Amino acid sequence: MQNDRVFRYSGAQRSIHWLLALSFFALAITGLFLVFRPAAELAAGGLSRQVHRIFAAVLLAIPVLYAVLDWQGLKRLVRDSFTYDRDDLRWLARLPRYFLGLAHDLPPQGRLNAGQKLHHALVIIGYVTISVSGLLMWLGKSLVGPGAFVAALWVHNITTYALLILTVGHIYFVFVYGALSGMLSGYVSRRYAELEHPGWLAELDRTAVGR
Amino acid sequence: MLMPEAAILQDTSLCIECQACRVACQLQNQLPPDVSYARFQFRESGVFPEVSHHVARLTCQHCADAACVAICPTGAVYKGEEGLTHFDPARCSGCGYCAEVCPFAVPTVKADQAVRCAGCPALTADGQPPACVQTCLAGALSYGPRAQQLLRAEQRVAALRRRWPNANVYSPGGVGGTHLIWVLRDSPEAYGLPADPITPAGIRVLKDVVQPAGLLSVAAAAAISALTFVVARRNARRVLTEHADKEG
Ligand code: HEM
Repeated sequence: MQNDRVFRYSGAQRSIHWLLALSFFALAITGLFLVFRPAAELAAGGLSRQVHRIFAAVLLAIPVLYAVLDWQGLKRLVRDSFTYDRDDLRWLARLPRYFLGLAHDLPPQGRLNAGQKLHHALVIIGYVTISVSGLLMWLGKSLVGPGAFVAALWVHNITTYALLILTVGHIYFVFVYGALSGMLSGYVSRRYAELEHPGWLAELDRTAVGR
Repeated sequence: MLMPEAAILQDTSLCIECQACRVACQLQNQLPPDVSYARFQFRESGVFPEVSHHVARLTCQHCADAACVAICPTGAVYKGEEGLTHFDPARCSGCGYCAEVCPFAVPTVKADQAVRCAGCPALTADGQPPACVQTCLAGALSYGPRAQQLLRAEQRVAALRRRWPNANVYSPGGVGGTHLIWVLRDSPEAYGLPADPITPAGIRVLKDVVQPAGLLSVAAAAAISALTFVVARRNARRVLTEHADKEG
Protein backbone atom coordinates (compact mmCIF):
# COMPACT_ATOMS: atom_id res chain seq x y z
CA MET A 1 0.00 0.00 0.00
CA GLN A 2 2.60 2.54 1.08
CA ASN A 3 4.72 1.43 -1.83
CA ASP A 4 2.15 2.66 -4.33
CA ARG A 5 2.80 6.23 -3.38
CA VAL A 6 5.85 8.45 -3.09
CA PHE A 7 6.09 11.64 -1.08
CA ARG A 8 6.87 14.57 -3.34
CA TYR A 9 5.88 17.95 -1.88
CA SER A 10 6.05 19.00 1.76
CA GLY A 11 3.26 20.87 3.52
CA ALA A 12 5.26 24.09 3.34
CA GLN A 13 5.83 23.69 -0.38
CA ARG A 14 2.17 22.96 -1.03
CA SER A 15 0.99 25.94 1.03
CA ILE A 16 3.37 28.24 -0.81
CA HIS A 17 2.27 26.83 -4.15
CA TRP A 18 -1.41 27.49 -3.48
CA LEU A 19 -0.78 30.92 -2.02
CA LEU A 20 1.15 31.76 -5.18
CA ALA A 21 -1.65 30.41 -7.35
CA LEU A 22 -4.28 32.38 -5.44
CA SER A 23 -2.41 35.68 -5.59
CA PHE A 24 -1.45 35.12 -9.23
CA PHE A 25 -5.05 34.68 -10.35
CA ALA A 26 -6.31 37.53 -8.17
CA LEU A 27 -3.64 39.80 -9.67
CA ALA A 28 -4.25 38.62 -13.22
CA ILE A 29 -8.01 39.14 -13.02
CA THR A 30 -7.92 42.56 -11.34
CA GLY A 31 -5.11 43.66 -13.67
CA LEU A 32 -6.91 42.59 -16.80
CA PHE A 33 -9.90 44.78 -15.88
CA LEU A 34 -7.65 47.58 -17.13
CA VAL A 35 -6.86 45.79 -20.39
CA PHE A 36 -9.98 43.95 -21.47
CA ARG A 37 -12.37 46.73 -22.49
CA PRO A 38 -15.67 44.89 -21.83
CA ALA A 39 -14.53 44.49 -18.20
CA ALA A 40 -13.53 48.15 -17.81
CA GLU A 41 -16.65 48.98 -15.81
CA LEU A 42 -15.55 46.56 -13.11
CA ALA A 43 -12.49 48.73 -12.53
CA ALA A 44 -14.51 51.91 -11.96
CA GLY A 45 -14.47 53.00 -8.35
CA GLY A 46 -11.03 51.61 -7.58
CA LEU A 47 -11.88 48.44 -5.62
CA SER A 48 -9.99 46.21 -8.07
CA ARG A 49 -6.91 48.37 -7.55
CA GLN A 50 -7.03 47.81 -3.78
CA VAL A 51 -7.31 44.06 -4.38
CA HIS A 52 -4.43 44.20 -6.88
CA ARG A 53 -2.23 45.94 -4.33
CA ILE A 54 -3.11 43.64 -1.45
CA PHE A 55 -2.22 40.57 -3.50
CA ALA A 56 0.86 42.31 -4.89
CA ALA A 57 2.05 42.58 -1.28
CA VAL A 58 1.28 38.87 -0.75
CA LEU A 59 3.13 37.98 -3.95
CA LEU A 60 6.17 39.99 -2.87
CA ALA A 61 6.18 38.20 0.49
CA ILE A 62 6.14 34.70 -1.01
CA PRO A 63 9.91 34.24 -1.58
CA VAL A 64 10.51 35.50 1.95
CA LEU A 65 7.99 33.02 3.28
CA TYR A 66 9.55 30.21 1.27
CA ALA A 67 12.99 31.11 2.57
CA VAL A 68 11.79 31.12 6.17
CA LEU A 69 9.86 27.84 5.92
CA ASP A 70 12.24 25.88 3.71
CA TRP A 71 15.49 27.61 2.82
CA GLN A 72 17.05 24.45 1.38
CA GLY A 73 13.99 23.81 -0.78
CA LEU A 74 14.07 27.34 -2.19
CA LYS A 75 17.78 27.09 -2.94
CA ARG A 76 17.29 23.75 -4.69
CA LEU A 77 14.36 25.09 -6.71
CA VAL A 78 16.36 28.06 -8.02
CA ARG A 79 19.50 25.98 -8.64
CA ASP A 80 17.65 23.20 -10.47
CA SER A 81 15.65 25.64 -12.58
CA PHE A 82 18.78 27.05 -14.14
CA THR A 83 20.88 23.87 -14.49
CA TYR A 84 20.43 21.72 -17.60
CA ASP A 85 22.38 18.66 -18.70
CA ARG A 86 22.50 16.82 -22.02
CA ASP A 87 19.50 14.63 -21.13
CA ASP A 88 17.47 17.74 -20.38
CA LEU A 89 18.18 19.19 -23.81
CA ARG A 90 17.25 15.90 -25.46
CA TRP A 91 14.09 15.86 -23.36
CA LEU A 92 13.17 19.39 -24.49
CA ALA A 93 13.64 18.36 -28.12
CA ARG A 94 10.82 15.86 -27.53
CA LEU A 95 8.51 18.41 -25.95
CA PRO A 96 5.98 18.29 -28.85
CA ARG A 97 5.52 14.55 -28.29
CA TYR A 98 5.31 15.05 -24.54
CA PHE A 99 2.65 17.70 -25.18
CA LEU A 100 0.53 15.01 -26.88
CA GLY A 101 0.89 12.61 -23.97
CA LEU A 102 3.51 10.44 -25.69
CA ALA A 103 5.80 10.10 -22.70
CA HIS A 104 7.56 6.82 -23.57
CA ASP A 105 11.26 6.57 -24.42
CA LEU A 106 12.06 9.93 -22.90
CA PRO A 107 15.59 10.62 -21.71
CA PRO A 108 15.72 9.84 -17.97
CA GLN A 109 14.87 12.75 -15.71
CA GLY A 110 15.49 13.53 -12.06
CA ARG A 111 13.22 15.15 -9.50
CA LEU A 112 12.15 17.70 -12.12
CA ASN A 113 11.89 17.07 -15.81
CA ALA A 114 13.40 19.61 -18.20
CA GLY A 115 9.98 21.03 -19.00
CA GLN A 116 9.26 21.66 -15.34
CA LYS A 117 12.66 23.26 -14.90
CA LEU A 118 12.09 25.53 -17.85
CA HIS A 119 8.64 26.41 -16.53
CA HIS A 120 10.05 27.25 -13.09
CA ALA A 121 12.90 29.26 -14.61
CA LEU A 122 10.53 31.34 -16.73
CA VAL A 123 8.19 31.87 -13.78
CA ILE A 124 11.13 33.09 -11.67
CA ILE A 125 12.20 35.52 -14.40
CA GLY A 126 8.60 36.68 -14.90
CA TYR A 127 8.23 37.08 -11.15
CA VAL A 128 11.18 39.47 -11.11
CA THR A 129 10.09 41.53 -14.13
CA ILE A 130 6.46 41.81 -13.06
CA SER A 131 7.40 42.77 -9.49
CA VAL A 132 9.97 45.38 -10.49
CA SER A 133 7.70 46.96 -13.10
CA GLY A 134 4.71 46.80 -10.76
CA LEU A 135 6.64 48.45 -7.95
CA LEU A 136 7.78 51.18 -10.32
CA MET A 137 4.17 51.78 -11.30
CA TRP A 138 3.05 51.69 -7.70
CA LEU A 139 5.67 53.50 -5.66
CA GLY A 140 7.85 55.11 -8.27
CA LYS A 141 5.00 56.86 -10.04
CA SER A 142 6.05 60.48 -10.09
CA LEU A 143 9.70 59.54 -9.51
CA VAL A 144 10.35 57.75 -12.79
CA GLY A 145 8.84 60.14 -15.33
CA PRO A 146 6.34 59.48 -18.13
CA GLY A 147 8.71 57.59 -20.47
CA ALA A 148 9.84 55.12 -17.82
CA PHE A 149 6.27 54.71 -16.60
CA VAL A 150 5.13 53.65 -20.06
CA ALA A 151 8.15 51.31 -20.30
CA ALA A 152 7.16 49.69 -16.98
CA LEU A 153 3.63 49.29 -18.29
CA TRP A 154 5.02 47.47 -21.34
CA VAL A 155 7.06 45.10 -19.18
CA HIS A 156 4.11 44.52 -16.83
CA ASN A 157 1.82 43.74 -19.77
CA ILE A 158 4.18 41.44 -21.67
CA THR A 159 5.04 39.52 -18.51
CA THR A 160 1.34 39.13 -17.74
CA TYR A 161 0.60 37.43 -21.07
CA ALA A 162 3.75 35.29 -20.90
CA LEU A 163 2.89 34.09 -17.39
CA LEU A 164 -0.71 33.40 -18.34
CA ILE A 165 0.39 31.28 -21.32
CA LEU A 166 2.83 29.40 -19.08
CA THR A 167 0.05 28.85 -16.58
CA VAL A 168 -2.28 27.45 -19.23
CA GLY A 169 0.47 24.98 -20.19
CA HIS A 170 1.17 24.20 -16.54
CA ILE A 171 -2.44 23.31 -15.78
CA TYR A 172 -2.70 21.35 -19.05
CA PHE A 173 0.27 19.11 -18.20
CA VAL A 174 -0.98 18.57 -14.65
CA PHE A 175 -4.22 17.10 -15.95
CA VAL A 176 -2.76 15.24 -18.93
CA TYR A 177 -0.36 13.37 -16.64
CA GLY A 178 -2.64 13.20 -13.59
CA ALA A 179 -0.14 15.00 -11.39
CA LEU A 180 -2.54 17.02 -9.25
CA SER A 181 -2.32 14.78 -6.19
CA GLY A 182 1.32 15.80 -5.64
CA MET A 183 0.19 19.33 -4.83
CA LEU A 184 -2.88 18.25 -2.83
CA SER A 185 -1.86 15.35 -0.59
CA GLY A 186 1.85 15.65 -1.29
CA TYR A 187 2.00 12.12 -2.72
CA VAL A 188 2.24 10.92 -6.32
CA SER A 189 1.77 7.38 -7.60
CA ARG A 190 4.92 5.29 -7.88
CA ARG A 191 3.90 4.44 -11.43
CA TYR A 192 3.96 8.11 -12.40
CA ALA A 193 7.30 8.67 -10.70
CA GLU A 194 8.83 5.66 -12.46
CA LEU A 195 7.81 6.94 -15.83
CA GLU A 196 8.53 10.62 -15.39
CA HIS A 197 11.20 10.93 -12.75
CA PRO A 198 13.17 7.67 -12.59
CA GLY A 199 16.33 9.47 -11.48
CA TRP A 200 14.52 11.03 -8.55
CA LEU A 201 12.90 7.73 -7.53
CA ALA A 202 16.27 5.94 -7.60
CA GLU A 203 17.69 8.71 -5.40
CA LEU A 204 14.76 8.34 -2.96
CA ASP A 205 15.13 4.57 -2.77
CA ARG A 206 18.88 4.91 -2.19
CA THR A 207 18.41 7.30 0.73
CA ALA A 208 15.57 5.13 2.12
CA VAL A 209 17.83 2.09 2.10
CA GLY A 210 20.65 4.14 3.61
CA ARG A 211 18.39 5.08 6.50
CA MET B 1 -22.76 68.06 -39.31
CA LEU B 2 -19.04 68.12 -38.74
CA MET B 3 -17.85 70.52 -36.11
CA PRO B 4 -14.77 72.57 -37.00
CA GLU B 5 -11.76 72.09 -34.75
CA ALA B 6 -12.01 74.52 -31.90
CA ALA B 7 -9.51 75.93 -29.45
CA ILE B 8 -9.38 77.97 -26.27
CA LEU B 9 -7.12 81.01 -26.48
CA GLN B 10 -5.55 81.96 -23.18
CA ASP B 11 -3.92 85.39 -23.32
CA THR B 12 -1.79 85.79 -20.20
CA SER B 13 -1.24 89.48 -20.92
CA LEU B 14 -4.94 90.17 -20.34
CA CYS B 15 -5.47 87.98 -17.28
CA ILE B 16 -6.41 89.98 -14.20
CA GLU B 17 -5.97 86.98 -11.88
CA CYS B 18 -9.52 87.14 -10.55
CA GLN B 19 -9.88 83.34 -10.70
CA ALA B 20 -13.53 83.61 -11.69
CA CYS B 21 -12.76 80.90 -14.27
CA ARG B 22 -11.87 78.54 -11.45
CA VAL B 23 -15.12 79.22 -9.63
CA ALA B 24 -17.17 78.85 -12.81
CA CYS B 25 -15.46 75.53 -13.41
CA GLN B 26 -16.23 74.33 -9.90
CA LEU B 27 -19.89 75.28 -10.32
CA GLN B 28 -20.13 73.66 -13.74
CA ASN B 29 -18.59 70.43 -12.48
CA GLN B 30 -20.15 70.54 -9.00
CA LEU B 31 -16.78 70.40 -7.30
CA PRO B 32 -16.28 71.06 -3.59
CA PRO B 33 -14.48 74.35 -2.86
CA ASP B 34 -11.13 72.67 -2.19
CA VAL B 35 -11.07 70.76 -5.50
CA SER B 36 -10.24 72.59 -8.69
CA TYR B 37 -9.46 71.62 -12.25
CA ALA B 38 -7.34 74.75 -12.67
CA ARG B 39 -4.10 75.47 -10.85
CA PHE B 40 -2.59 78.95 -10.72
CA GLN B 41 1.19 79.23 -10.89
CA PHE B 42 2.69 82.55 -10.00
CA ARG B 43 6.27 83.31 -11.07
CA GLU B 44 8.48 86.35 -10.66
CA SER B 45 11.61 87.06 -12.61
CA GLY B 46 14.17 89.83 -12.82
CA VAL B 47 15.69 92.07 -10.13
CA PHE B 48 13.99 95.06 -8.52
CA PRO B 49 12.92 97.42 -9.95
CA GLU B 50 12.82 95.44 -13.19
CA VAL B 51 10.59 92.66 -11.90
CA SER B 52 8.04 90.84 -14.01
CA HIS B 53 5.19 88.84 -12.59
CA HIS B 54 3.68 85.97 -14.57
CA VAL B 55 0.62 83.92 -13.89
CA ALA B 56 -0.13 80.63 -15.57
CA ARG B 57 -3.57 79.13 -15.26
CA LEU B 58 -2.56 75.54 -15.56
CA THR B 59 -5.31 73.28 -16.75
CA CYS B 60 -5.79 70.69 -19.48
CA GLN B 61 -3.87 71.72 -22.60
CA HIS B 62 -6.19 69.64 -24.81
CA CYS B 63 -3.26 68.11 -26.73
CA ALA B 64 -4.13 66.93 -30.23
CA ASP B 65 -1.96 63.83 -29.64
CA ALA B 66 -3.20 63.32 -26.09
CA ALA B 67 -1.24 60.75 -24.05
CA CYS B 68 -4.03 60.62 -21.44
CA VAL B 69 -6.68 59.73 -24.03
CA ALA B 70 -4.45 57.04 -25.52
CA ILE B 71 -3.61 55.43 -22.17
CA CYS B 72 -6.95 55.65 -20.31
CA PRO B 73 -7.96 52.00 -19.74
CA THR B 74 -11.67 52.68 -19.29
CA GLY B 75 -12.41 55.35 -21.88
CA ALA B 76 -13.14 57.91 -19.16
CA VAL B 77 -10.82 60.34 -20.94
CA TYR B 78 -11.80 60.86 -24.56
CA LYS B 79 -11.67 63.30 -27.44
CA GLY B 80 -14.63 65.37 -28.57
CA GLU B 81 -15.34 66.19 -32.19
CA GLU B 82 -14.21 69.77 -31.58
CA GLY B 83 -10.79 68.50 -30.47
CA LEU B 84 -11.08 69.16 -26.74
CA THR B 85 -10.22 66.40 -24.26
CA HIS B 86 -13.22 65.36 -22.19
CA PHE B 87 -13.52 63.44 -18.96
CA ASP B 88 -16.35 61.33 -17.59
CA PRO B 89 -15.79 60.81 -13.83
CA ALA B 90 -18.35 57.97 -13.74
CA ARG B 91 -16.09 55.82 -15.89
CA CYS B 92 -12.86 56.72 -14.06
CA SER B 93 -11.11 53.92 -12.13
CA GLY B 94 -8.60 56.25 -10.52
CA CYS B 95 -5.61 54.34 -11.91
CA GLY B 96 -3.74 57.60 -12.36
CA TYR B 97 -2.23 56.66 -15.72
CA CYS B 98 -3.33 60.03 -17.16
CA ALA B 99 -1.50 61.83 -14.37
CA GLU B 100 1.63 59.75 -15.01
CA VAL B 101 1.90 60.38 -18.71
CA CYS B 102 0.70 64.00 -18.98
CA PRO B 103 3.61 66.00 -20.44
CA PHE B 104 2.33 69.03 -18.52
CA ALA B 105 1.79 67.17 -15.23
CA VAL B 106 -1.75 68.55 -15.00
CA PRO B 107 -4.08 65.79 -13.73
CA THR B 108 -3.93 64.54 -10.16
CA VAL B 109 -5.71 61.71 -8.35
CA LYS B 110 -7.81 62.09 -5.25
CA ALA B 111 -9.91 59.43 -3.53
CA ASP B 112 -9.80 56.95 -6.44
CA GLN B 113 -10.78 59.60 -8.98
CA ALA B 114 -8.78 61.61 -11.44
CA VAL B 115 -9.00 65.36 -10.84
CA ARG B 116 -8.88 66.82 -14.33
CA CYS B 117 -10.61 69.21 -16.71
CA ALA B 118 -13.75 67.70 -18.24
CA GLY B 119 -13.70 70.01 -21.26
CA CYS B 120 -17.37 70.88 -20.57
CA PRO B 121 -18.76 68.36 -23.10
CA ALA B 122 -22.37 69.41 -22.53
CA LEU B 123 -21.51 72.98 -23.53
CA THR B 124 -19.08 72.38 -26.39
CA ALA B 125 -21.35 69.77 -28.00
CA ASP B 126 -23.79 72.68 -28.42
CA GLY B 127 -21.09 74.86 -29.89
CA GLN B 128 -20.92 76.91 -26.70
CA PRO B 129 -17.64 77.89 -25.02
CA PRO B 130 -16.53 75.98 -21.90
CA ALA B 131 -17.60 77.45 -18.55
CA CYS B 132 -14.22 79.07 -17.80
CA VAL B 133 -14.26 80.96 -21.10
CA GLN B 134 -17.85 82.10 -20.58
CA THR B 135 -16.96 83.69 -17.24
CA CYS B 136 -13.70 85.39 -18.09
CA LEU B 137 -14.17 89.06 -17.18
CA ALA B 138 -11.03 90.34 -18.85
CA GLY B 139 -11.40 88.66 -22.21
CA ALA B 140 -8.21 86.69 -21.53
CA LEU B 141 -10.00 83.50 -22.51
CA SER B 142 -11.83 83.02 -25.78
CA TYR B 143 -13.17 80.07 -27.74
CA GLY B 144 -13.50 79.57 -31.47
CA PRO B 145 -12.23 77.77 -34.55
CA ARG B 146 -8.64 76.68 -33.97
CA ALA B 147 -7.16 78.18 -37.16
CA GLN B 148 -8.70 81.54 -36.33
CA GLN B 149 -7.51 81.39 -32.72
CA LEU B 150 -3.94 80.72 -33.87
CA LEU B 151 -4.10 83.75 -36.12
CA ARG B 152 -5.40 85.93 -33.30
CA ALA B 153 -2.64 84.65 -31.06
CA GLU B 154 0.02 85.60 -33.64
CA GLN B 155 -1.43 89.08 -33.93
CA ARG B 156 -1.48 89.56 -30.16
CA VAL B 157 2.12 88.38 -29.89
CA ALA B 158 3.20 90.76 -32.64
CA ALA B 159 1.64 93.63 -30.71
CA LEU B 160 3.11 92.49 -27.39
CA ARG B 161 6.63 92.14 -28.82
CA ARG B 162 7.15 95.91 -28.60
CA ARG B 163 7.14 95.69 -24.84
CA TRP B 164 7.87 91.96 -24.38
CA PRO B 165 10.54 90.90 -26.88
CA ASN B 166 10.19 87.24 -25.85
CA ALA B 167 6.43 87.11 -26.29
CA ASN B 168 5.34 83.95 -28.07
CA VAL B 169 2.49 81.67 -29.04
CA TYR B 170 2.63 78.46 -27.00
CA SER B 171 0.99 75.40 -28.53
CA PRO B 172 3.84 72.90 -28.61
CA GLY B 173 4.18 70.52 -31.56
CA GLY B 174 5.62 67.68 -29.48
CA VAL B 175 2.12 66.88 -28.28
CA GLY B 176 0.63 67.29 -31.74
CA GLY B 177 -0.30 70.92 -31.06
CA THR B 178 -2.84 71.88 -28.45
CA HIS B 179 -6.44 73.03 -28.37
CA LEU B 180 -5.52 75.42 -25.60
CA ILE B 181 -3.33 78.06 -27.15
CA TRP B 182 -1.39 80.50 -24.99
CA VAL B 183 -0.23 83.98 -25.61
CA LEU B 184 2.82 84.31 -23.37
CA ARG B 185 4.67 87.53 -22.63
CA ASP B 186 7.86 85.66 -21.89
CA SER B 187 9.45 82.25 -22.45
CA PRO B 188 7.44 79.17 -21.34
CA GLU B 189 10.02 78.56 -18.57
CA ALA B 190 9.23 81.97 -17.07
CA TYR B 191 5.72 80.62 -16.48
CA GLY B 192 6.87 77.25 -15.24
CA LEU B 193 5.72 75.59 -18.46
CA PRO B 194 7.78 72.88 -20.15
CA ALA B 195 9.70 74.31 -23.14
CA ASP B 196 9.39 71.20 -25.28
CA PRO B 197 6.83 68.72 -23.92
CA ILE B 198 6.38 65.51 -25.89
CA THR B 199 3.77 62.76 -25.84
CA PRO B 200 5.55 59.69 -24.43
CA ALA B 201 6.23 57.11 -27.13
CA GLY B 202 4.79 53.63 -27.16
CA ILE B 203 1.34 54.14 -25.65
CA ARG B 204 -0.65 53.51 -28.84
CA VAL B 205 1.37 50.43 -29.78
CA LEU B 206 0.88 49.06 -26.27
CA LYS B 207 -2.89 49.61 -26.35
CA ASP B 208 -3.57 48.78 -30.01
CA VAL B 209 -1.05 45.99 -30.67
CA VAL B 210 0.55 44.51 -27.53
CA GLN B 211 -2.61 44.19 -25.46
CA PRO B 212 -4.90 42.67 -28.12
CA ALA B 213 -2.08 40.38 -29.32
CA GLY B 214 -1.36 39.34 -25.71
CA LEU B 215 -4.97 38.53 -24.91
CA LEU B 216 -5.33 36.67 -28.20
CA SER B 217 -2.22 34.57 -27.53
CA VAL B 218 -3.54 33.55 -24.12
CA ALA B 219 -6.90 32.61 -25.66
CA ALA B 220 -5.14 30.69 -28.44
CA ALA B 221 -3.01 28.76 -25.93
CA ALA B 222 -6.15 27.82 -23.99
CA ALA B 223 -8.00 26.81 -27.17
CA ILE B 224 -5.15 24.61 -28.46
CA SER B 225 -4.81 22.95 -25.06
CA ALA B 226 -8.54 22.28 -24.89
CA LEU B 227 -8.43 20.71 -28.36
CA THR B 228 -5.48 18.40 -27.76
CA PHE B 229 -6.36 17.54 -24.17
CA VAL B 230 -8.55 14.50 -24.83
CA VAL B 231 -6.02 12.87 -27.15
CA ALA B 232 -3.07 13.72 -24.94
CA ARG B 233 -4.81 12.41 -21.82
CA ARG B 234 -5.65 9.11 -23.53
CA ASN B 235 -2.04 8.74 -24.77
CA ALA B 236 -0.61 9.51 -21.34
CA ARG B 237 -2.90 6.96 -19.67
CA ARG B 238 -1.85 4.28 -22.14
CA VAL B 239 1.85 5.05 -21.74
CA LEU B 240 1.52 4.95 -17.95
CA THR B 241 -0.15 1.51 -17.95
CA GLU B 242 2.20 0.07 -20.56
CA HIS B 243 5.12 1.30 -18.55
CA ALA B 244 3.76 -0.23 -15.33
CA ASP B 245 3.09 -3.57 -17.10
CA LYS B 246 6.63 -3.63 -18.49
CA GLU B 247 8.10 -3.04 -15.04
CA GLY B 248 5.87 -5.83 -13.79
C1 HEM C 1 4.53 42.44 -6.97
C2 HEM C 1 3.69 42.28 -7.89
C3 HEM C 1 2.86 43.34 -8.56
C4 HEM C 1 2.77 44.69 -8.34
C5 HEM C 1 3.54 45.53 -7.34
C6 HEM C 1 1.80 45.22 -9.28
C7 HEM C 1 1.43 46.55 -9.39
C8 HEM C 1 0.59 47.05 -10.35
C9 HEM C 1 0.20 48.43 -10.47
C10 HEM C 1 0.66 49.55 -9.55
C11 HEM C 1 -0.60 48.55 -11.55
C12 HEM C 1 -1.21 49.85 -12.07
C13 HEM C 1 -2.68 49.87 -11.96
C14 HEM C 1 -3.13 50.17 -10.59
O1 HEM C 1 -2.53 50.99 -9.91
O2 HEM C 1 -4.15 49.57 -10.22
C15 HEM C 1 -0.76 47.24 -12.12
C16 HEM C 1 -1.51 46.96 -13.26
C17 HEM C 1 -1.61 45.69 -13.81
N1 HEM C 1 -1.12 44.52 -13.28
FE1 HEM C 1 0.10 44.34 -11.67
N2 HEM C 1 1.31 44.19 -10.04
C18 HEM C 1 1.93 43.02 -9.63
C19 HEM C 1 1.72 41.74 -10.10
C20 HEM C 1 0.92 41.43 -11.18
C21 HEM C 1 0.69 40.08 -11.70
C22 HEM C 1 1.29 38.81 -11.12
C23 HEM C 1 -0.13 40.22 -12.76
C24 HEM C 1 -0.70 39.18 -13.71
C25 HEM C 1 -0.58 37.95 -13.63
C26 HEM C 1 -0.41 41.62 -12.94
C27 HEM C 1 -1.18 42.14 -13.95
C28 HEM C 1 -1.46 43.48 -14.13
C29 HEM C 1 -2.16 44.01 -15.26
C30 HEM C 1 -2.69 43.21 -16.45
C31 HEM C 1 -2.25 45.39 -15.06
C32 HEM C 1 -2.92 46.40 -16.00
C33 HEM C 1 -1.85 46.90 -16.94
C34 HEM C 1 -2.38 47.93 -17.88
O3 HEM C 1 -3.20 48.74 -17.49
O4 HEM C 1 -1.91 47.93 -19.03
N3 HEM C 1 0.24 42.34 -11.95
N4 HEM C 1 -0.02 46.34 -11.38
